[in-house]
Amino acid sequence: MSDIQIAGLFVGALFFLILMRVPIGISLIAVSFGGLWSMFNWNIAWGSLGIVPYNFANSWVLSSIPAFLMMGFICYHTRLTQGLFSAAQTWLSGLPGGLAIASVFGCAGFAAVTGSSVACSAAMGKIAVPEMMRNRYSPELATGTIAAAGTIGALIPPSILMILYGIISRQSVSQLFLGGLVVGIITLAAYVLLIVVRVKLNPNLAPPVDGNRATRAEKIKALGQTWPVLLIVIGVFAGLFGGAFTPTEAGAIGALLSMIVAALYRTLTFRAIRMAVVETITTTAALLIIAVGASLLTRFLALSGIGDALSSSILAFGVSPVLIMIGVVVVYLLLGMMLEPVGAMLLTLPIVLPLVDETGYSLLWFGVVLVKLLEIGMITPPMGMNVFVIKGVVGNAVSLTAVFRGVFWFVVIDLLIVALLIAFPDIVLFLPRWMN
Amino acid sequence: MKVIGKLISGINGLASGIAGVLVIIMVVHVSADVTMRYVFERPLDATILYVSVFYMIAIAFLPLGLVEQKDSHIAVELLAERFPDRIQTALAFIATLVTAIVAAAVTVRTGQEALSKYAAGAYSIEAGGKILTWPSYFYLPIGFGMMAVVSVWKLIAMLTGRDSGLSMMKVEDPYLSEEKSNV
Amino acid sequence: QESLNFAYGYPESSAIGIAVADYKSAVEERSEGSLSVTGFPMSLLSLSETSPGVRDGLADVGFVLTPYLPAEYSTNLFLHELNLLITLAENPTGKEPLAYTGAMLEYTFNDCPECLAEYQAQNQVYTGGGVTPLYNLLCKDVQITSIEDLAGKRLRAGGAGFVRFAEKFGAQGVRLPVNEVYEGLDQGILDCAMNSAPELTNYNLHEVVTDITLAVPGGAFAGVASANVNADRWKAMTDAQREALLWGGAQITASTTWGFYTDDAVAIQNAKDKGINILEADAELAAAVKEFAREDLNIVSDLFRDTYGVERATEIRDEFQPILEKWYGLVADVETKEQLQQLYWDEVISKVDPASYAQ
Ligand code: NA
Ligand code: NA
Repeated sequence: MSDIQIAGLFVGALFFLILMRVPIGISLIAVSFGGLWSMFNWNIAWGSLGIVPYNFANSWVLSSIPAFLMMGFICYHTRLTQGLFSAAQTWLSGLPGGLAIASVFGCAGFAAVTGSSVACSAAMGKIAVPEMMRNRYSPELATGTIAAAGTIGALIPPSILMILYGIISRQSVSQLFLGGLVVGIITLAAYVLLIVVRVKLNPNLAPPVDGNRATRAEKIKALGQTWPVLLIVIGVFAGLFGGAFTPTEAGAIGALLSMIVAALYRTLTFRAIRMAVVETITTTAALLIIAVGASLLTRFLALSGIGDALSSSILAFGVSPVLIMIGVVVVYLLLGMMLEPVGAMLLTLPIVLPLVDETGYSLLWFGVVLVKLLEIGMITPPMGMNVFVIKGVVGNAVSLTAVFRGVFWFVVIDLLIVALLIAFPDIVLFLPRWMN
Repeated sequence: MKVIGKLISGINGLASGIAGVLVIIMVVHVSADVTMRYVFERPLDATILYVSVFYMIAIAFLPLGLVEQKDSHIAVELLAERFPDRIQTALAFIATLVTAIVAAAVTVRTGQEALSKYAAGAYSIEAGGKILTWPSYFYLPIGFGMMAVVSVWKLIAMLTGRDSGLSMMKVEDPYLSEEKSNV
Repeated sequence: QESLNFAYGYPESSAIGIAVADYKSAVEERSEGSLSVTGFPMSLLSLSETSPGVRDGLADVGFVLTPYLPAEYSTNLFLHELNLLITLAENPTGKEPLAYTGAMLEYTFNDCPECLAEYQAQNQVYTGGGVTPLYNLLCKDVQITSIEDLAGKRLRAGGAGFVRFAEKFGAQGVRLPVNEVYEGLDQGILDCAMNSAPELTNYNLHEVVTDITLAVPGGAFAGVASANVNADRWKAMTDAQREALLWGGAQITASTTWGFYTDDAVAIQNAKDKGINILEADAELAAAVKEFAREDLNIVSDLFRDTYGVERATEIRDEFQPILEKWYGLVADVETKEQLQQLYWDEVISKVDPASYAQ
């Protein structure tokens, strides 16, 4: 059997294990181990188990994930969030699905702070999802909205993925950021539109719009109740753009700030802290074992020589630039089902960059499209890290399947956006060009 | 059964208690570093090392036993939940068995690595001097080891048909419990 | 035909990616096709995983950085820490990194059995090194030419030595990973980064940097074992194959060092073209930087002897200096990568016996 066939066989086994409800992290580790063993030998497979988990978690940048989770859990358990959504409801009372729309805007705000979409979903998940569910939003819409809106986190700068792409492809990071900003805003607008349309078409998804529009006095009063969260968000923003701390440090500052604000709000009990901490560490551990497994799988796939197979399958789509790009999109959608973005990027860029270069599309444009594609992978089954974060945050109240159902329409919209970007590359390029 | 279940839950509680304290220390430590750097112009030494080695590794791996105990590992129900109950029970047994084997293997391997790091006396060179890093390697065999123990114990409970005695500590929802008290 | 997987934690387009491509053709040609090499940029093993990865066979050859494992590679790391000697070169020509590379190769192969034993303990065979260009101050909206300019500045410090440098001049040494330097400078968390000029391109720093002060803090990165071979694979090979790998070692050592050396000149020229100010330290600061280097060499020797277990530290330092001086002369006429490779091969690596080395 060739290495590629072995890889295919073990990826099939991965799908099988996951569908048989074996925990995803365990499935990934088992399959990568088995794959390395059968392709090489016991020593290599056994060695990988000792090297990857420690070195993966030993990461400064990764520390923003538990920190942002902690911030969200503290805000939630000390009830700092309760004013936020009544305010959103008052202000957006004329719009169907107002809370969901407010959440998308909230996510975009967080996106400007964090560089990763997992951190974004983590922070917003606990704040927004329970509020929506208490307000009789369908669980699928509530969870799907946040999981999808989290993907905006890597599009709107700062963005870890774009920095990494800039380093590998030697493209300007600040120009990538500008292109990402445009696509992030387009995504934001498209999500809002999608929610409005879906709720109009299916009134069961969200509570009916309040007949009486809120008065101006009511609106201002509602705004007054949002001060705890506003204080935290403004504090984090001010520090970040004032040069006081990095995006990685922002999570810790946000978590500490939320504890201080909760203390001022007089809801910071020992019990609230304990519950927030337990949820933070169990969610982090549950996510990181999957990330470790995905990282192991990336090594197995790299050694299998899947790169060459990829480039030939992309070229099989034809030789015209648009067809090659469609091939690239299909390949990344498939990869996105199983790999996390950084692994997928490291694995494929050495093969894909020269291909894209030949098509005549700009590498700057491709970086933005690639981040968008990788972020779509964050919400597609079976491996959808954002979906897992939301699942981890809401616990047993909503099934994983329901969250995946909830993101379905968002994925459809995302694919339309990608098609738009391929048809009109200038959408990505006009702002970087103009700013130069 | 109960005594052993309680003992296992106790060890998991202790391990994740340590991780929980470390997550708070991490938040405070990073904030202190930012404050010292920005306000007092005297940054703390080796913050990145402490965060990535001592806090992150602990937070990532020490709670694994508790996660297994609470059935909080992320899995896909999509297909499995459509099967009849008896098949679902069998699948749950197989999934737990696979978990036990994988967790045990990772425990042994990361344990070997931890012992060799201990033997080498692994350290990091920081401005303030030598900081020993080998202890952080032991978080992995502890976390994966407890995950293996819990899953083996679950298997035994399934086979004997008795209650595992593992505590399923529930996190209360502050809003929902609030509403209940109003009823 | 034996196929070898080469793992390196850098992009394919970097100086190191190009050096690995040179290694591949050198080894394949020299072995007359009995060896083939496949490069894996970043995807197979990260920088910190490369040493254990080669040890366990996940890769057959790897670009290993010794500072990631100070306990395992303390003596090798000490040779790297002596890099401040470069700053003390009496008539600097810019070719000091080329000489330092040669001196390190020679010392490691010929005079440092404990260095080779450290690699052997990690199941690896050392076949080559490599050194980056001098460290500069890459600053945003800050101009540094005098001692006073440094006071109170926030400087990115990649290691303990840089923190000592910052503290010596009343600045703050801020530890940030290199991939966060861009944002650190952009957002004003850092005033300057202590990095070599090619990082301007490698990490897109030229977008944010406005001023560069050359040769402050000085020194270079030399903690490189550029082509460590898994010892089990090595032992299973024929003498001819091993000789081809040693030839490849000379190639990658030269390619890495030469790549950095030329990138340095190009990066500084590009920076000028982009309107970035290139500054020189004034006489007082230049003298203070040398003074720091002299003091720090003593501190480092004591530290490695007393704290990091390199018993021969003082002896190694004294033995190493004349070898480095000799190499300043040897590299003086080198004008091409090919000449550099031939020099490393003739002076050092050709004298290694493929039959008995690392057995
Ligand atoms: Na962002
Ligand atoms: Na996915």
